[in-house]
This record gives sequence, C-alpha cells and structure tokens, in this order.
Amino acid sequence: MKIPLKPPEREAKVLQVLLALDAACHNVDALETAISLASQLRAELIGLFIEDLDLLRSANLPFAREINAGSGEERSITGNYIARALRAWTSQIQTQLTKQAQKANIKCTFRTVHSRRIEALLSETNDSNLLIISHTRQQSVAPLSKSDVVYLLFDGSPEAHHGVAIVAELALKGLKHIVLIDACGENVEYSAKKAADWLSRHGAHVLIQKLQADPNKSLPPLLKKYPAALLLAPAHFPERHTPGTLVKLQNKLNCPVVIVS
Amino acid sequence: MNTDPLKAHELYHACSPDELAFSTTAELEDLTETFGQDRALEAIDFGVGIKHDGYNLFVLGSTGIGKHFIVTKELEKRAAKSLMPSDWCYVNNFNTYHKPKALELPAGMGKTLRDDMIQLVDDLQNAIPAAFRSDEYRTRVQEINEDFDERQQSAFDKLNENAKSRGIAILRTPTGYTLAPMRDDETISPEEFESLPKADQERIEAAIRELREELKETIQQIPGWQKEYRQQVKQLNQEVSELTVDQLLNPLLDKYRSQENVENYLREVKDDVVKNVEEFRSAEEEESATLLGIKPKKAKNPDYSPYSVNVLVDNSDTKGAPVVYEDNPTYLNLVGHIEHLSQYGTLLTDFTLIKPGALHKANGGYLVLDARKVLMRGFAWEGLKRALSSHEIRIESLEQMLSLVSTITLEPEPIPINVKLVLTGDRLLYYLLNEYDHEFGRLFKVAADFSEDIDRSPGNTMLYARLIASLQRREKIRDFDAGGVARVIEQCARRAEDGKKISLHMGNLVDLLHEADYWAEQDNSKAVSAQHVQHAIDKQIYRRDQIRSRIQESIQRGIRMIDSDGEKIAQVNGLSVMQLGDYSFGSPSRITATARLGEGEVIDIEREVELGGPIHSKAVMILSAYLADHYARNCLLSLSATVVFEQSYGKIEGDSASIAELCALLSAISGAPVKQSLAVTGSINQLGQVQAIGGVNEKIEGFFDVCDARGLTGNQGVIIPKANVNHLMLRHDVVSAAQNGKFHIYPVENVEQALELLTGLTAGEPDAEGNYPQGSLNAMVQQRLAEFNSLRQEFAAKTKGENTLETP
Repeated sequence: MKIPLKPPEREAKVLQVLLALDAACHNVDALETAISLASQLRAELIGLFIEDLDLLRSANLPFAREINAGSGEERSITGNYIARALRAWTSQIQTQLTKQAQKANIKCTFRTVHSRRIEALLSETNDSNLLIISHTRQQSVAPLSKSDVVYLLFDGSPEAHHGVAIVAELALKGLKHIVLIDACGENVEYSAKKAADWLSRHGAHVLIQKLQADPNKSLPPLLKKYPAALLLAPAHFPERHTPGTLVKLQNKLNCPVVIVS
Repeated sequence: MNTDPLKAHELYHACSPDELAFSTTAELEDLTETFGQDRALEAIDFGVGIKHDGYNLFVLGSTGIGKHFIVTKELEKRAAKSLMPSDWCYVNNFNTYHKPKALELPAGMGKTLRDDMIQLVDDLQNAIPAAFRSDEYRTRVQEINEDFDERQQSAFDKLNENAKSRGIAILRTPTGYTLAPMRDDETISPEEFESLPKADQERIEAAIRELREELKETIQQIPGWQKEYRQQVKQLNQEVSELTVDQLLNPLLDKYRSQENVENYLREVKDDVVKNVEEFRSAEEEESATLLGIKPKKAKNPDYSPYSVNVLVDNSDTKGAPVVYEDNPTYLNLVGHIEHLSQYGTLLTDFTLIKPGALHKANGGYLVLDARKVLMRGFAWEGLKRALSSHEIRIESLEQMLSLVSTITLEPEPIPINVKLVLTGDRLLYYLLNEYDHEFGRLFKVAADFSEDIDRSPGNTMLYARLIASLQRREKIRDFDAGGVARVIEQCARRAEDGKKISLHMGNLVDLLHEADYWAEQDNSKAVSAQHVQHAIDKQIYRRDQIRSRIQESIQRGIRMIDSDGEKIAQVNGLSVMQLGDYSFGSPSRITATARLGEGEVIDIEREVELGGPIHSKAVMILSAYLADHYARNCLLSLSATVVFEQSYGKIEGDSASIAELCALLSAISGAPVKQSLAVTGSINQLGQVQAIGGVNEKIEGFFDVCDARGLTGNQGVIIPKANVNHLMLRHDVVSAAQNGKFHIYPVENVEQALELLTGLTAGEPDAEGNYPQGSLNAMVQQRLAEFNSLRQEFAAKTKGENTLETP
C-alpha cells in the first residue's frame, strides 16, 4: 500500500467496510456505524462473522457447560449445540444487516470466517477496506451524527495517512469534531500538525492530543475526554506496540474501532 | 232618561303640538334615566343589591316593552361600580388526569399564567436537552458508566487471570460463557483431554468446577450492579432535571407567591416535569441530523399539553362586574361543555378542551336570560336551577347526565359561582312557573314587574318626548318636529287603549319611529312630521288589514248580514274584536234572540255547541239572573229563551256583547223593535250596570266602516259603556263624522239607557209594588212574562188534572 505523503494529493479509497461480528460482540449496534460509514464512503458493507474454533472444540469436552450471561444458570452444551446457536445468530444478524443496508441503499454481503482471534481478521484488511470492531459493552451505538466526535490515531504511517483522507472525506459530509491523537515519533516528514491543518481545510474542527508511550494505558483516558463516536486506528499500530493490544483496547473503549489499512 | 252623544273632543284625546315646548327633537336632551318603570327599577335595585341566597330576579312584562334593554342598562350601571371578578382556569391534575383542577386567580392573571406556562415549556424544551448535553452531565454519566464497566471488567479480569493461571480459558458463547482447558494458547480438544492422565483430568475438571462457580457468582452480581447503575443514572437525571427546572420555575414561584393555589400547581408541574423529563429530552434527539441522512427512529411527538393552562374565564379586559346575556341558552351554553377531537376514529379530549358556559362568564356578575328560551331548550332550566341551588358549576355532558354513555370522560372540578341571575319573560310565564315549579319561588324571590303604560300628564308627555328624542338619536333617524312627536304620543295612547295613558311598549314605539322616518325620507323631508307618522300608521294598518277588508266587503255584499238602518225585533248589532297577531280590528255581529213559554232558562246556543268560552257563558248566565231579578222577583220566570251570534263559526269569548244579548232578548220578549242604525257594546252585571270592555276604539270603527261604506245617515252610532269614554282614541274620520253629526257615540251606565236608545221607548221605573209604567219597555217585558207565567200555570193545572185522572 503506497499512499502519497501529502494528503491533498490523494483520495480516500475505500471499497469495502468490514464489520467484524463474533459471539463475544453479538450486539448489532455497531451495525449503524458501519452502515453510516459505508454509505458515506460509497463502499460495500461486508459482515464478517467469526466462528471461534476454540469455542467449537471446547463445546465437545465431556464436562462442557454454558453459564448463561443473563441469569448465571448452568447447562450442558455440545459442539452441535454451539454450532446451531451460532448459525441461528448468524442468520439473525444477516437479516438485520441486509435490511439496514437496503434502507441505506448500499451493497451488502456476508461472510463467515473460521478463526481463533479477532486479530486474525487483520489479515482480511487491505488498503481498500476498513475493518470495524466493537465490543458488547458498547450498548447504544447510533448512526453517526454531525455532533459526534471522531478520534483519529495518527502515527505517520501510510495507514494513518489513509485515515486522514477518510476523515477529511467525512468532514466534508458534515462530521466536524475531530480529535487527532498524535502518536508520531520525532522525525516524521508529515506531522500530526500538518494532518490537522489539512483536515481543517476540509471544514473540520481539529484538536490534537499527544499520545503517551503505552497506548493501552494512555488511549482510553484520552477517548473519555470527549465522548467518542468512533476511533480510526491504523492497522498494525496496536500490535506494533504490544501483542493483544487491540483486544484490550476493544474491551476498554466505548466506541467502535475502525482499523484503517 | 236622555243620553247625549259624546262631543268630538271626547272621542279623541289629542296631544297638541302647542303643549310641547320645542320645535324639533334636536332641542331635547337625551332621557338618561329609565322612564315610567319606577316599580320595576326599585325591584331591580333591591334584587341586585341584596346578597342573600335566592334573590335572583324575574323581570316580567310584555314582549317588546324594553325589559331587556332597561335591565341590562341598570345592571351595567351597577356592574361598573362593582369589583372585577376572578379569572378561572382549568389545569391538569397530575394525580388524577380525568379530574382537571380549577384555579381561581385575580382578574387578568389567568392569561398571564397561561403565557408564563407556554414560555416555561418552551424554555424547558431548550434548557433540559441543553443540560443533558452539557459536558458536566456527560462527564458524570461517563463516570457512572466507567464505574460500572470497571466493576464488571475488573471482576471478569480477575476471573480471567485466575482462570489463565490455572490453564483455563473463558470463552463467549452466543448466550453466555463456557470454560475450556488450554494448552499452548489453544483449547484442548476432547481427544487430547482423554489422553491426559486421570489425575490431570480430575485437576482440570475441579479447576473448571471452581471457576464455573466463581463465574456464576460474578454473573449473578451483574443485575445488582446494573440496578445500582440505573439508580445512579436515574438519580443523576433527576438532579440535573430538578436543577434545570428549578432555575426556570423559581422566578414563577416568586411571581405567584401570593397565590397559594398557583404555587401548589407549579410545584406539581415541577414534579411532573422531573418525572417525565424524557419527554423534553426527546426533543434533543430530533434536533441532530444523521450523517447518513437517515434520521434516527423518531420518538413519538412529545406532548406538553399537560402543562397548558386553559383560561376558562378571562377578565383582563373586563371593567367592573360582567353583565352577560346568552341569546341561545342551551344546557351546554349555560354550564359549559367538553369538546372532543377525532383521532383515528376515536374521540379524545383533555382539560384544554373544556369550554366555558354563560354561567362561567357571568360569575361574579350578572347573567341575563330570556326565560322562554331557557324553558324551550332541553335540560337548560334544570341545569340552571341546579347550578343556582348548589352554588357551583359542574360541567357534565348530557350523555353523562342521562347515563347514555359509560365511557370515561373528564370530570372537571366544579367552580363555585356567585352570580345574580336575571330572567326576563312575560307575566303568564312568571305565574305559571310560580304555580308549577316549587323551586322557582325559592330561587327567584324578586319580581320586577314592568308597567305597560304611564299616566299622560303634561310632565310625562314632555319626558316621553325626550324619550322619543333619545330613541331617535340612538337609532340614527331624523329629528321629529313637535307635530310628529304629538302624533306619536297620540298613537301610543291609542296603543295603551286609553286616552289618559301612554304605552311604554318600546318595541312598537321604535318601529313607528323607523317607519315614520322612512316616509319622511320618501318625502325628502328633513324632519319627521305628523303627516309622516300618520302615513306610517295608515300603511301599517293597510299592510295588515286584508282580513278586515274582506269582512267589510262581505258585509257590504250582504254575505254577512248586518243591518245599519231600520228596526227589527229581537235583533241587535253587537260588536266584536278580532286579534290577529299584534293587529286587532272590530266588526259588527248580528245577535238575535227568541223567547217563548218555558221554565226559566236562557239558552246560550254558542255554549250548547261548545263554541262559547267560559266568560261568554258566564255573561249569559248573568243576564238570566238580571231577567229573573228585574221581572220575576215574585213569580216564576216562565220563559225559554235562546241567544246566538248569527253567522259566527268560530269560538266566541268575552262578555262585551252581554248588553247586546240582553237587549236582543228583551226585544224578543217585549216585541219592541230595535234600531239597526245603532250598534252596542258593553258587559253588564246582575244589577244591569254597564261595565267597561276592551277594544272600544276598534269596535266603534268597525261599525263606522260599515255605515260609512253604505253612506252615513246621521242616525247611526255606537252605544258604549261610559267607563270606556276615557279610552277613546278614535280615528280621525270617525271623529270628523261625529263632529259633523253624521255618527254618534253614546255612553251608557246601565241597561235602561241602552234600551231607550235602541228602541226609542222609555225604559220605565218600577213603582213600590215593582210594576212599571204603562207603555214603557219594562212594562211590556213584565206583561209578556206575566202572560208566559199564566200560560204555564194553565198548562200545569191541565197536566195535573190529566195525571189525577190517570191515577187509580
């Protein structure tokens, strides 16, 4: 992926918006954000359902039991039972996704991925798509509105530049409140300041916040300062720092995370 | 016993323009005070002034006399000096929605409160969403969220770490969690597990059992945390709402500090707003447009009507106490009603749709109603009485009152009333209500009885002229000259049927002024003169007298047989009046009698065929008694007589023909012929005295018209009761004929005078033994009755003998 360093020279090129869904994030509220983005960027929406191999395997253990998340009640499970439950849920999500996409007049497909970790989805990403991941606790994610605050993690990487271009596109459509998290090192040609200037030229109000060393610790408090509707992060940024950061971040944040490649 | 005809000046009580000290009404001042109704005015003054229960007024008098105008004017005078009554509003009852609360406020404050509440709601719509959008609120919500999240996360993290340290993974299933043993960061498959040593398997299973219990405990704690979380959010929302509402409501609480009821209401508003703050927050959501252009799910339109104020009675522009006249006093228009809105085929209502009735509007003042209209509108009278008796207005639909529907509807809090009710109506209605409605007397203790006329004194004549001037100016018609005013006064005297009185019937007076003005306009005259008034009167009569003309025509053509010349036995020209609406006219009727031997009965043929009214029958009985008393005091009245109105095909009522009937009967008995050139009217008593009758002018004119059409002979005339002389206000042509000796009006006091005029015979005075002088009319009657008596005795003796022979 080669993106010119000067954002004005390139366009936000997004052909697909991937929405990651697994048994752990079976609330479908992130759907709204995904549809908003896909519609805004005129991209195809792809629902990616992750069938966790660990889960299927463990369900066949002789002592496998499920503790109900709502009541705490215990019951025996089998691999077949889990497979059926996942299929039922997949079908339900697919119906909802299709319905919403039709309303928004966007193309929508659905795919099941057999994987062990949500991080494995990163391999699905490329420079022409975005990956949205969210967590169960993100209870009421609504369609993006003009008053929402969008966070952009900018580390100077080509993915980060792509993120800037995408946010600039969104700014032109009306999203005005941008917090640019400066995660750049010292010697970058294109600094967070320049990115902010460029976004400002697109009508956005940009605030720059400096990220401290460990994003796992410093990112959540930053995102709490202004209620975040969305965090755009360059792919591999979290993993570059500490393996498993993405999962940890996902658990701590109250907004969907958009991975930009 | 000579009876001279009346002089021309006695036939018409003229009002000379010379008596009036002005040339046109422009010179006269308005008559500001009410004229000629002292008794009624005193009653109104008393009724309005007295504050005790039941002292409502019934203003009685004939239609058009000016009751409504006068009573309203008097009430307005008093109302202007009275205190302004309170405003009344209906507001929502936040505890029981179907029972709206009534608020009493000082005059003008109702509208202010309504506007304040509109402003408050408007402010709340902005302030509440703003408060919930504020950084402070969001931060606090965030804190609560984080607290909850952290609590939950930390419990799960702890559980995860514990599990990890024991080689166990916690995995999510679509509906919960499951625990699985791990090896090299992957879960163990069943096969791998089976291959493990038994001890390891047991250790893993034991660890999983323990962890499962811990997980269960953690999960079971979550509802409690969630409850706590919701409670905290709710408490925060309440704090924010209260703070916001207080900021806006406190100035209002200060403003209405003196009104305890408003203060309480505002506090209830505050509680309700805080309780239903989501209604105001939903506005915030609608404001934000989505980036996509797809609007979020639209919440139902917030309904802020519970915070409205329905100003039922607004006295902000009232000066003094209100004087309200309800022209259409239906039940709903009197006590108010509740309107409904149709929505999707369902009728909905709330307290904002409560509409006031006349009782609400007049509360603290006066309500004027037409009694007849009230009685004719279903349930209006009962509703009115109930309000007066209970001293409160309870708005209740008729359907509800009659139990026709059983749906839930509003039950607005009754409003106490303090209203002086003034009913106007005619006398008959007043006395009927008094007789048949036992509550009427208790509720309407004051009767203001309007006089129909006033004495025609010089002072009153001048006041009447001023009244005419006032009406003329009020009605914006041209001035009247003195002659015009004089002619109006004369006509009003004629309407009063009394030359010494003037009618106080304002309706007719105003009509006459309008019409005279019209003819003056046609005549291009600047002022209305006597000739215009006369023209107006003539035209009024002409427009209405088609039936009279037809009757006159039928007399002239001999269809109705009326003689106006010559003499006839047992035939007398009686006079009757026909009333057609507000127009009456007189015409002669032939009255005939027969007499033969009998047992002392005088048969009223009209009564026999049920065409005679009770008063007429009574009059015939009186004349029977007169006959017996005068001519058969010491013997049997051996007479069978009949009396009838010839060519009469309708009901006959009244006693004004009783003298004519008696004369016809005496002529029939005596055989003395009666002059047909005379007509006679008057009622008699048992003593033979002639009593006054009504419609004397019309009756005289009726016979005059017949004679005039046939040509006046100079012998024709009418015999009237002397008591009616003062009532004479005859037409000018009649007066003129009398003046020229062509027509005569004879006033009589007793039957004898009338008989002498009709027969030309002396009536005769009885001697000590009761015998009348030979040749006199009475002697002829007495003699004939004596003959009847002898014949009767002969018959009786003969019959007795026949009976004896037959007896064994």
